[in-house]
Amino acid sequence: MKTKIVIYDPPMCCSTGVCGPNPDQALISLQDILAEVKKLGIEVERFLITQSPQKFRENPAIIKLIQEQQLKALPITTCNEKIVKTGAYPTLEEFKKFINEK
Amino acid sequence: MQTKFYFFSGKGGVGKTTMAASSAVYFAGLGKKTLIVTTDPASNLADVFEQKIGHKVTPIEKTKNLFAMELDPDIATAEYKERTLSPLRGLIPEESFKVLEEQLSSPCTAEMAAFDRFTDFLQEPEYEIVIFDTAPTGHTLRLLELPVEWSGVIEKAAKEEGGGQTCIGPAAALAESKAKFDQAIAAMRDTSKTTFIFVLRPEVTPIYEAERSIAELLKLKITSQELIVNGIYPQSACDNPFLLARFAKQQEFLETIKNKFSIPITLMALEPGEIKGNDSLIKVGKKLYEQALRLKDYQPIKIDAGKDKIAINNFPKVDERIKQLLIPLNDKRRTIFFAGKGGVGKTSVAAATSLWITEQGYKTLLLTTDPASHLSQIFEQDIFDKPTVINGEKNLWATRIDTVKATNEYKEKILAEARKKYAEQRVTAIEEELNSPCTEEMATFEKFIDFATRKDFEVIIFDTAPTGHTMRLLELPVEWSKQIEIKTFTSTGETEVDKITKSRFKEVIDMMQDINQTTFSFVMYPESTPIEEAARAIDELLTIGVPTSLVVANLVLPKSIITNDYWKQRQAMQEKYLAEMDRRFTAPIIRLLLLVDDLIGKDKLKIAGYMLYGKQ
Repeated sequence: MKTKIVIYDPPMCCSTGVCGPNPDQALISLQDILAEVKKLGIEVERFLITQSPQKFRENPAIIKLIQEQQLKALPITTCNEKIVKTGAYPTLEEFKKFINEK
Repeated sequence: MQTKFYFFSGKGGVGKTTMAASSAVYFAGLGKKTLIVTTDPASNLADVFEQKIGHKVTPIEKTKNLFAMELDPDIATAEYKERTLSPLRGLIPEESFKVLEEQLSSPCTAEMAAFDRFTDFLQEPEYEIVIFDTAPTGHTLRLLELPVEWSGVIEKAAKEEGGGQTCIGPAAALAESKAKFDQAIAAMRDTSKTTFIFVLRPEVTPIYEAERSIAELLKLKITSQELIVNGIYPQSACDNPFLLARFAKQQEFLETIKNKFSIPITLMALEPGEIKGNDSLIKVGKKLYEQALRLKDYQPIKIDAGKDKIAINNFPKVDERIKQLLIPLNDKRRTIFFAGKGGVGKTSVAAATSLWITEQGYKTLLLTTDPASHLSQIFEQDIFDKPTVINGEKNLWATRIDTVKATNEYKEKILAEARKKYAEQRVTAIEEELNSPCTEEMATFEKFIDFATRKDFEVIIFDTAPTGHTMRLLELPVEWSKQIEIKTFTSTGETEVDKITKSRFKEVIDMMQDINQTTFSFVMYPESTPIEEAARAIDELLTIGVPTSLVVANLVLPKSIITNDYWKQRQAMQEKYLAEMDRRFTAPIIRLLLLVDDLIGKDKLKIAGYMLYGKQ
């Protein structure tokens, strides 16, 4: 089966954060990591909570985490629908680990 | 030719809303189901129709077939928020839900939401005629450019050079919106569907602004345009040297307009009373569409008005109480804002004030935040986006915020940083998102904060854009501070840079709230709509803790010119509204009389300064 990674993003204006009051370094670094992951042939889908709330609603595990930890649970990363990381974006090494371990 | 969509635009105070409302009443009278929508955040459509309207399509009680709506950016944003977040309501904790709502209140969303609603009306199948009464020019051009810009942004992002992301979501999900934007653009460009009507007065700056707007619209490939020249003095009512001199001026400008523009031009006379309510709108609609005088059939009249007979030389004494509002106290910089409805003379009053303060010996900067400013025309010299010294003055500089330049600088600053640190692809992704129209607002705001925190002038005077636009700019420090706080609610956390940004915003907020540092003043002429608009803005400013400390009544008719019934009627109207101003405003009110000439050039501006604040 093809590995499918999804990131459930916290509320923000856009995926790099450049349209907010200050561009966010963590988000900008993420872009680079995702480019590397893409080279491995793995697609990463991203859902922003304020843009794709329906996707959050469809996933009870994600909703449950937000109910327990508020928005601090975000970002949440899932690999083949299993939650693999919460509260921060994965590093490149972590992405590689998720892909190998699946 | 009759079209389905009519846009009424032009500089503030030229009679846009009156012309739009009269047209709406006229078309409805022909039995056509008509909708009039105002996109002006400081609309006065309700005043003109003498009934409540608000942010929903409302039938006009006294006119069959006519419906109206006032597009309220705040409510549009609330609706947009509700549409977006309803899937999560009740599902996630209240505290988290509130943070999401707050994030969707970011200035970007407000712009998106108002614009989303606006494009809805461009595909209205239910009405035969849709009339748009638009905000003053700068703001409106922006609204019209947005479909073109967003459509381009989505198209580019869809090619996925960076990450396929745009500021409003992943490109793939936006195909539907793009189709809607493209349809809106096509409708505006179709000469059989849309007519753009610019309203202007026969004066220097409205002519300049009409010229500029027509060129801007041509750039957007919107070609179906017409002009209405409004407020022309009837010759029969001009029977003294002052009025004859003004009449002669207007006729000269009509000649200029005739030579300058090659589109259809309709002439409308100044009405002695206010145009409000159904009966007067029907009358004006008939004049506009059935008895219209076309400029091509009219020969402007040349008369020798002998205006040197009307010199002004008795100025009031300086009022110390007012002076204290204009000069620095306790070694702190004085910041003066001039706000108000478009066309009330903010720029002229701000320029006159800057010359008066400079004469008191203070190093002064006059800055305009109005994208449609005409500061260069008023000072008769080029004013750049860096402080430019005013010819013949040692202590006076002027400058303007150049939106296009500011946006490019802002983009370049962020990209230069990014190039130092990151690989090509990451820079492309950032660049893609920076192409969003939100960047322009961010960049303008950055410039405003830069100037507002400058320490190298003793007095800074802000000549602001018309009310709606300005209120947004002033509320932004408060709103962006909140956006930074959202980050502390989520795991992203607040960074060092965020702390610095927040302290800069706080400095500006504190400065605006301190009456010993900041003088907020509203300019208006004594008529209903500018007073209502100022009163609303004054209340709104109070909600962010900014008090208003000065009111300027402009274009007050001098007693000496009231020599016939026509002007007696206008003066009676002014007296009524001057009394109302006294009742409604707690800040001191100063007056500027109507002058023969437009306030162009330093000599005339200095005279206006003495009339306003006195001469030692």
